[in-house]
Amino acid sequence: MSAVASAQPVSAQRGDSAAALARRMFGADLLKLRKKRSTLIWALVIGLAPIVIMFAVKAIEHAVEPLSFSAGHVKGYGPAGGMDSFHMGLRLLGGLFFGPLVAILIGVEAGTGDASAGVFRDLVVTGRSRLALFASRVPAAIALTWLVIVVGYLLILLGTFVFAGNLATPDGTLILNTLGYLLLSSGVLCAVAVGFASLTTSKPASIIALIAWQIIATPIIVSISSLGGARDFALGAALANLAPMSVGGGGRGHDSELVIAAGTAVAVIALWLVVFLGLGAWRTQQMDA
Amino acid sequence: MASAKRLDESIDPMNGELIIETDGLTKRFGQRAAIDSVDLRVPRGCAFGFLGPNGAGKTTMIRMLLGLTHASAGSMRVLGHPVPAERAVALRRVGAIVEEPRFHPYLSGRENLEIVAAARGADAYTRISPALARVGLAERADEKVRRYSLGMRQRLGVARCLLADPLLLILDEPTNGLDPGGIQEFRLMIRAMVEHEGRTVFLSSHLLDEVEKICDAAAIVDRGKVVTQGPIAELTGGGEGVRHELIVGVDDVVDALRALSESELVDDVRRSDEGLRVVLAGEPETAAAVNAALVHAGVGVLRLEPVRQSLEQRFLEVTSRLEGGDGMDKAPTASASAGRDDARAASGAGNGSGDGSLGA
Repeated sequence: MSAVASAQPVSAQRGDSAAALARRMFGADLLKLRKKRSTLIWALVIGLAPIVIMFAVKAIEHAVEPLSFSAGHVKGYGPAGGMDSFHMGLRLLGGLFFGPLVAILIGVEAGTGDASAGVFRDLVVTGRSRLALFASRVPAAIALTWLVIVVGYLLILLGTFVFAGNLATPDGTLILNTLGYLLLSSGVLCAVAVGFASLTTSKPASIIALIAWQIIATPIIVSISSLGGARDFALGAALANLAPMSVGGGGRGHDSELVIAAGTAVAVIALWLVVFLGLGAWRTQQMDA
Repeated sequence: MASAKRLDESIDPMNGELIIETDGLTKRFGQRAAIDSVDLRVPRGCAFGFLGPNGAGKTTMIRMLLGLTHASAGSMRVLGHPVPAERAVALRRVGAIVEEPRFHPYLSGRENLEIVAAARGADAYTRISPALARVGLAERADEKVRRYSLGMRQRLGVARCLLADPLLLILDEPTNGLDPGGIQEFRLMIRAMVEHEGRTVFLSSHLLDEVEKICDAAAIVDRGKVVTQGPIAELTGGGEGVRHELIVGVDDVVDALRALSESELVDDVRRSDEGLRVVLAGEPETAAAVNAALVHAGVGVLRLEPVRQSLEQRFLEVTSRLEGGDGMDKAPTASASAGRDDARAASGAGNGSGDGSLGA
């Protein structure tokens, strides 16, 4: 009585190539994220507003009381741009609170959005593998995070050069290296956030735990010298050691008391990615939809 | 939208008649069996009702069929494919609404369908507009779902199912929250899908009336067990142990009562507001002989009408059989209203409220 149907691979039966399928699912996940206005607006505000405020304050200070020398004393404020401002912008976007928070917000939204909306089961009943459903979240979340980070970086460059006056500005190599570092650090944090959020399936719990770990606990752990080599396993420290200049927020980069070999830092980052993406994928596979 | 039957023949031929088949399917939560050794047979090309009170295990059954949760024991095949082993292939032509349809509220109806179409396959994209038109949402497809009424969400859920060009639609309590107009519209849509598009609809419900009006066949489930299954006509009229009744209008009630009470053709006869209610000793065809016996006794027969047993009565019979072991002897046989009264008595206050629904 039972029916028998051909058992071709599903993607083949649907006339899709794996690349086309991946592209479509990436597009669908990106659509969900970019249309989630509350998350996107908060990410933009958190990522961009501090940079705008920093340059605005420095520009106003310089305009009100320009730098001057009198009687051997330095008074007032220098131009708002230049290397110092570039460095400060990098610390805001890549090392301290704001850049990581953008990655965490978007990553957590990607990891929990389907489950919290109750749509996950409707995606599961398409027959698509849960692993594929999980996997498509990661690049979509990273893409949106990078968009915000790149806009923030462009603002930093704009302010750095426009307000530079007679100050030195970063050269092309540093600009590209810094961009690469920002994309690496935000991408890694975002991927870890997707995995962790998929594991917990709770948006508030994930955001709180990741912020607490990355922005509060990591700098404290790194500062406790008695922990010795164990501190190398802090993701923030490993990322900071790959920065082209000091970014703060955990490791101290080139001016750090905690210097991690580049190979070790890469291994630590890879370990974090494997563990949390693995846990997220496992949970997505196992959970009742 | 392409015909389901044509696509079925060209892409995914089924050489059997069953679209869902389970053997000994069991789901346990701790010691409690939510589904207990269920052998379910759903023929293709029909609307099949999965009927039972709240908490009977209907949704659990559906979730197992769709691979949303694992079975504790037993096996199942959907569209001929074993689940979960070949779940992906099995579900390729299955559309489902499990519990209430859920969507991303900040996306439009169309965007929500695009999300699912991305996972379904390239063909599904081409079905988005036709599916929206099919359920009457074409003009509001670009509004955010948070502005949709419950009825519109139900229809959008059906549109989402249609993206698969489904051979099988699995709908879990699909008319929950719909107003009477919406329910009627929904029934017509389901029937059209079965009769004109060749799809099979597996519909779980606690609403007896709904199943009776929409479905061709049904299984009655109670406390995790399928207690009976078959065509609706068989369940309501010809099942094993079912009593066949007639309403007989006569010109002389006293003579008629005397004649019938002495007849071997009749098990029981009594007066009612509608006339005499006669319980036949044999099959429905015995009615002709009853008529002849009355005429032979000199009684004028004004009316002779078989009493169609409702699914509600059948439900009460099979579930009371479970409880007492002798439910058939106690089964209500007089009327649907009597059945409802018995339902209240059997299930306690608040259940069987007379609206054709079954309490937990």
